[in-house]
Amino acid sequence: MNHHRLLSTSCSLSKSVTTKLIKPFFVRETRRQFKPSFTISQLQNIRSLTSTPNSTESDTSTAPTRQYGFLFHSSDSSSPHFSSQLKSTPIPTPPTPPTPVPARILQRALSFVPVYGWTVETLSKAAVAEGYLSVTHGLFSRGGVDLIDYFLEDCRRKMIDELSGKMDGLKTHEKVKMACVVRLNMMRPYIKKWPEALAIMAHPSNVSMSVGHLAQLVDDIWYLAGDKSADMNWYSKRTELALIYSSTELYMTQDKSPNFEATFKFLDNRLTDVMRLGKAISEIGTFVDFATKSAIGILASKGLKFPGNR
Amino acid sequence: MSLRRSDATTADLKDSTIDTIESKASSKKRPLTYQERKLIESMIRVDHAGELGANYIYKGQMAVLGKDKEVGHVIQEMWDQEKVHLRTFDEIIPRYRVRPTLLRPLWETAGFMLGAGTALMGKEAAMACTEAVETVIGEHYNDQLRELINIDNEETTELREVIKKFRDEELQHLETSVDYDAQKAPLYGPLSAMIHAGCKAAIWITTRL
Repeated sequence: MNHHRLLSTSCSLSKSVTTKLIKPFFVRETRRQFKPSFTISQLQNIRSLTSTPNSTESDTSTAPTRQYGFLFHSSDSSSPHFSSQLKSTPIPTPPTPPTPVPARILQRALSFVPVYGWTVETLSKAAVAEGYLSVTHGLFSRGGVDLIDYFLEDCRRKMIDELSGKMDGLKTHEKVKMACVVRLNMMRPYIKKWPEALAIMAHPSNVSMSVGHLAQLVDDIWYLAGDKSADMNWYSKRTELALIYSSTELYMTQDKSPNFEATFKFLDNRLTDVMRLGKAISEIGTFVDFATKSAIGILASKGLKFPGNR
Repeated sequence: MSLRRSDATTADLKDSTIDTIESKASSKKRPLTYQERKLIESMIRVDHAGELGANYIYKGQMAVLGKDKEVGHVIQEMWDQEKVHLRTFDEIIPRYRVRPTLLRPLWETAGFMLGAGTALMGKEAAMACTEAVETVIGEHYNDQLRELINIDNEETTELREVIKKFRDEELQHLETSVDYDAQKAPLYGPLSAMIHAGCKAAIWITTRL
């Protein structure tokens, strides 16, 4: 109980110092350090927290390298360098991802997604797992959206890596199918939580992000499949594939079949549909062309003159 | 070569760090910035659309003047060169991963109408149309070359060569059209001013769409 009295006095003592710092990070963290049983010497350390460097060592075991000082105020707050920095300049603005640390937290966060979903909670769990404070999730101002953004970008890179060199000698539609399968396989661990992500992605403020990722994905697939179209086909191919991929993904979220067999069957059917449709359209084109030419031919034989006929 | 910003894989990231070290030695090897890539993408898109339009202009002219003894073969020669230009850009588009213009059908019809319309006004008007169009295209290619020289990067070397060659050929067409009495066309002044403005508007739109 004595300790408690001591604690409160030390708190009031250090409070005057901490309020000067105006740093919620700092205040919260010093409180956290009080939780474990402590000794008088530690308390004295806490009292002299802002004046002497390297006084609190209770958290340094979990603290990673000091290269990214702005990320873990707990262990660094003791250094005079830091507090002086705070006085002179406002809180340093967090870098935009993906710089190494945020990317590492986001990467780790993906393993928490199957349990906690695409949430801020996942991010703070991941931050703790990576040895940062749980509040580090504040780096990601958009919370779950940032995580989804990272996940989709990560999948893109992985898909390209995985497919490179594997598609030689295949036909175009086989390449497209293979890329879709590879990409859908990446969804497996997260598929139960994917409807949640889809709901977030459908929010008006996130639509540009999600549509952008889908467009990138289909563009990648067509590029990898060696598509050379430079006309309106460029658009129609991408639109078709975007529709097929997104509907297959949606189907996958509801798929209960073993090993997602039904999903891949669904994908197969959609791709076949489109191929049949494409054939039909080109046949219509051929027919129209033929009909026009024969009409011109008939009219020309009746004595009409056409500029193109030579 | 891929010009997309987000294509950067881990390997690319490693490469780019090497590039930045080397860039001190020669800035030509540095990776293109995002803005530069966007600029080059829109350049390729405009050029492709321009060549497409030019092709349809000549196609329209040939539809009317194809059998003309005097200018038929001249237009055909110019058209053949334009076909090569279009094929080149057809090939550059997927290689640089540039989105082709969304207004392709519009440029096709507009080009054909312009070509056929001026050709119906007579040989001179057709040549005046060629003159106006090729003037704008020549200027446009020159502007692009200036910007590409400013970027001064190894990745733009190929594009620079292509544009330089095409510009020279377009300017040859311009001279040919003047030789074939372009300036004797009826309403030469307003006609060429109108086509000038139209081409510039088309360029402006295509850089965006």
